[in-house]
Amino acid sequence: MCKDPSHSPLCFIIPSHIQEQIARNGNEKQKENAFRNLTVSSRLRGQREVLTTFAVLATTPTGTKRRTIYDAKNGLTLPGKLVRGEGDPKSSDTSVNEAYDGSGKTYDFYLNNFQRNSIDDRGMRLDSTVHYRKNFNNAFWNGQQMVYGDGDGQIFQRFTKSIDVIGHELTHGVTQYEAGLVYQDQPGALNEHFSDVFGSLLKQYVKQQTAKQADWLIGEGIFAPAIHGVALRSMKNPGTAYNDPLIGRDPQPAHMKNFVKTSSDSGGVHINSGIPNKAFYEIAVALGGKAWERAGKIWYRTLMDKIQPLTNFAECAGMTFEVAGTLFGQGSAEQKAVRAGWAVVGIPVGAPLAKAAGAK
Amino acid sequence: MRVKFERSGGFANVPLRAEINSSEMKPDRAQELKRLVEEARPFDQPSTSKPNLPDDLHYQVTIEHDGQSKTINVSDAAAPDEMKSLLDFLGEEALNKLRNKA
Repeated sequence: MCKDPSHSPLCFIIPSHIQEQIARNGNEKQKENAFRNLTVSSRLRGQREVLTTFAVLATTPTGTKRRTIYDAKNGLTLPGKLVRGEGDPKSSDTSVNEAYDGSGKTYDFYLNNFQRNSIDDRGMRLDSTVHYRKNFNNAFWNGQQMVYGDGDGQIFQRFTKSIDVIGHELTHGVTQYEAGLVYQDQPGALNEHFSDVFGSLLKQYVKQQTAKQADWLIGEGIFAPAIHGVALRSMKNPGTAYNDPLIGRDPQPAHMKNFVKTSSDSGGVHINSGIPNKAFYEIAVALGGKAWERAGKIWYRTLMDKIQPLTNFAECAGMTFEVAGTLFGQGSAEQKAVRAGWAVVGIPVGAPLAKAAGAK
Repeated sequence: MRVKFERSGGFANVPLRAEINSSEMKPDRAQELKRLVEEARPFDQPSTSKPNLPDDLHYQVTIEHDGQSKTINVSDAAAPDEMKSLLDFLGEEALNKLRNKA
């Protein structure tokens, strides 16, 4: 129904009552598309009763992974040729297997820790395309699926190589369904931040690492060997991931006083995300143990229940503080750690929000 | 043909900037650029299109050719296929230029 998949999240030309008819009476593919559109549009409009009415029509049972990997064969057409479906044997193609395994581990991570049934919490199929275009230096979520380039071999290697990249892209899907954070300026940097947080937590979960053991790097190992850098971003030390004569240095700030005002990168969404990333790292390390268990839980519930399309840094900080109080108790160690973590990056919480630094 | 090329955003957000001149290219590459420009018709494209999808690449490209000049701000996902092919080619040339400098 939406020819251009890139516009799918915002493409609700068909009225919702007709979509509801399709969700009831269409074939499998039509039902899935109609339900997906109803779900996103209803969530963004806050009409949660629609979801309960139609959930039964299009939900895949919890715990049922449905992965589909496509090969664009270096062309422009998405999704490309189907090369591996759920339960199919391993491919001879490393990118195919990495996309398959990585999306499966992301599904397990969300299910086992947050009882979440796929990207939309309704068992949505996890579609990935590998080998998109020639030497393509990017990975992205287009509103419906993940898309991975091979890299040009000079700056980047294939983008499926690092599992946190896969978790990052799938989390853009989760954010799209649950919070609708606008991809611009501070809300956009928060959108990036949530993807980095759950991408990194996925990697830590797969490796069963504690907060102290984890490297907190995003995109470790995807630079080509000649580039001087360990990763694209560091949540532990934003601004230190790379420094190279060809591509320059990691531009991320770690404190509100270094907030970067720019019109490029959608207002610095991949730059200023360093600030909340650092706060999350501080909180996770202060709490100790497995970061997804407490810090991750606070962040997940904040994304589910609090974040709005235009939430800014200071508001997000206040929300995490409130959620920590609800989950673990007012004045709990968790809530105190949240306050202390945001203070490290220059965002006071627990005080009136209007006084918070950087509030718009 | 002279092209000012700038790419930003994307998952990596590693910016790439270079000025490209077809007269400095190998003849087959210059020929390829001419063909891609004819197919992408940049002078007939809208100057801006930005849906702001997560991790989408952004390009700002100024093309000077046959006395015409045009600046296009376009996001990768919003670019027509012919434009994507031109942008990929320009990205390769921009990287070559930078490597020769470095």
